[in-house]
Parts: sequence; structure tokens; C-alpha cells
Amino acid sequence: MPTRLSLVFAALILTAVVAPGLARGQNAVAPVAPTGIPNPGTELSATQRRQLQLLIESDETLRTQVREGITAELIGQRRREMEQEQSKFFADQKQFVLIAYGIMWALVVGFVVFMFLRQRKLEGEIASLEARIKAATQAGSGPA
Amino acid sequence: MAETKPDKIANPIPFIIAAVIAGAGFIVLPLMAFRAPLPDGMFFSQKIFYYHVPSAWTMFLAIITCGVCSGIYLAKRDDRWDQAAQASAAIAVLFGAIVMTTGPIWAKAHWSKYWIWEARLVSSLLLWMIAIAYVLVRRYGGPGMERLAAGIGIFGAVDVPLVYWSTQLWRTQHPQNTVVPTLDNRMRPALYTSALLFIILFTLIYSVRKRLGRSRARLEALELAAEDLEA
Repeated sequence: MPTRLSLVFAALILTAVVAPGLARGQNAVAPVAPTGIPNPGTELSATQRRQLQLLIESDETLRTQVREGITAELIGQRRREMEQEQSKFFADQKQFVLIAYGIMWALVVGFVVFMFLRQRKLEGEIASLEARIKAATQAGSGPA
Repeated sequence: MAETKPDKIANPIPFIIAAVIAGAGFIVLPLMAFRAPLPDGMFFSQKIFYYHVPSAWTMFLAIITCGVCSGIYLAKRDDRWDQAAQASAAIAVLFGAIVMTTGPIWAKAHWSKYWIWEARLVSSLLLWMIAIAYVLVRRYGGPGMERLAAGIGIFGAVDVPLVYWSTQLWRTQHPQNTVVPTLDNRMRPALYTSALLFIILFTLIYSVRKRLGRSRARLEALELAAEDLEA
């Protein structure tokens, strides 16, 4: 039969063994937020850059990954630039076609309008001269 | 005294129909050109081809017509041929202006330069300047300028083959004459529609311009008659 004293010892031992385990479990569930790691896109401080450089230099796999990441980023950037250049080039090409077509129409319409105005002016002059000739002929053939 | 009947177009209906066809065609043409495929190594500016080339053909046609009519005028001394030559020369100037503006715009888009001093471009420019010279002589030449202008018209017509074969005679950057015969079948409808529309336009402008020439001749005859009466 366990005595009261042995039960107290058992409770103390259990507390000593289980409590740290429970504490570790709590840590695993809710880890303490690391400090000093910047968000993506923010500028690194000189110390952080140095630490990163040391880390990259010490790890071959990380070095390869960083190199591949930078290369992919540069390729993506160049591709975006090329796409922008290409869309500008095609927009310019369309503009050239439209300008040429517009000039062609303007020349044709301008020429036709010029001819129309010239024809109207000539017809006016012809009508005026005909009237003068008619009047002169009638005056000449009238009674002296 | 000169003929004083009113100078109207005898039957305006074919004229109006042709004008409507030409107008509608020039609205449809960009759609046809847009749907036609691009040749290898060419960019969107290649679409200028569909009105640059037919306008050059029309310029050639106008200058040849001017030269032939000038030759007949010199042989027969019939004013109708002179008026026909005069109308053709004016049209050659118009279509030459289209060639000389659409060409450099295409050159700028494709070669990054508006102008290159090479045989096809320079000979085309000279041909256009001959047409302009004809018109200027007719406008400011004074008495006897009809025969001088007729000589210029013949000279221009003789120059046309030289311009056409300039890409074979000299080393040029301009596309060769083989482009059209070897054209993709899907590009032909747009090109030939455009050529047909330019010929309709040529005919329409020619008839209107010839009428203008007749009116001018009539006015000159009336002025002489008025001077005789006043004297």
C-alpha cells in the first residue's frame, strides 16, 4: 500500500518530468516570431547583406539556388522589356500604315476638290464672257 | 468662233456608280489588306504595299497615256489629244505624290530611314518631276508651249521602262519586280482589288480633268472672240 509520502514524491517527479515537455509542446505550436528578417521587397541593411553573403558563400546549394533565382529574375525582366518594346514597335507600324492611308485619301480628295472649284470658276468666267459677247453682238446688229 | 454649247457630262449615271464603287472600295480595301497574311520577315507596315504599288502602276499608266497622247497630238495637231495628255499628266502628278509619300513612310517603318539615294527611288522621283515639269510648262510656258510639253510627255513615257527595270539594272535596296508575280495567293485579292480601284479612280479623275481642259480651251476661244468683237 503506498503511503501518503510516496504519493507526494510521485506527484513531484511527474511534475518535474512532464512540465518541461508541455512547455516545449507549447513552443512548437506557437513559436516565437523571429526578429530581424526583412519582408520581401525591402532593402537589406549592410549587416543583413553581409550575413546573407556569408551564408551564400558557406552553402554551395544555396549559392546555386540564388544564382538560378537571379538569372530567372533577369530573364523575366528582359522578357517584359522586350514585350513592351515589341508592343510599341507594332503600335508604330500601325501608325505608319494609317498615316500613309490618310495622306493618300487627303491627296485624292484635295485634288478632286481643287478640280471642282476650278471648274466652277471657269464656268462662271465662260458664262460672263458669253453674256458680254451676246450683248456686243446684239448692239452691233441693232439699228444704226 | 468657238463651240459654245454647255460642257456637261453626257450621262452622269455611270460616273456616279463608278464614284460610289471607288469610294466603297477604298473603305473595304483596308479590311482586305488587314486580313491578308504578312510575308516572312515583314512587319505590319507591309500593308502600305496594297496602295503604294497600285498607285505606282497608276502613275506609270498616266505617264504612258500622256506620252502616247502627246505623240499623237504632235502628229495630228488635234487639240483633243493635247487635252487628254494634259489630263493624264495631272493624274501622274497626283499618283506620283501618293507614291512619293507612301513609299518613304514605308521605308521609315521598315528601313528606319525615309529616303535612300538608290536607283529605284531616284528614278521614280525623276519621273514624277518630269510629270510636274509637264504641268508647269502647260501653266507658265506661254505661246507654243503645247509642243514643248508634248515633248516632255514623250520623254516621261520613255522613262517609265527605265524606272520599272531599275531594280534589275542596278543594285537596289528596293524590293525586286518579282515580288508581285511570286505573291502569296492569299495576298492577291487585296492587291488586285486595290489596282482595280485605282484604275477606276484614274478613269473618273481623267474624265473630270479632261472636262476642265475643254472648259479652259473654250474660255480661251471666247476671250479671243470677245477681243475680236471689241476691236
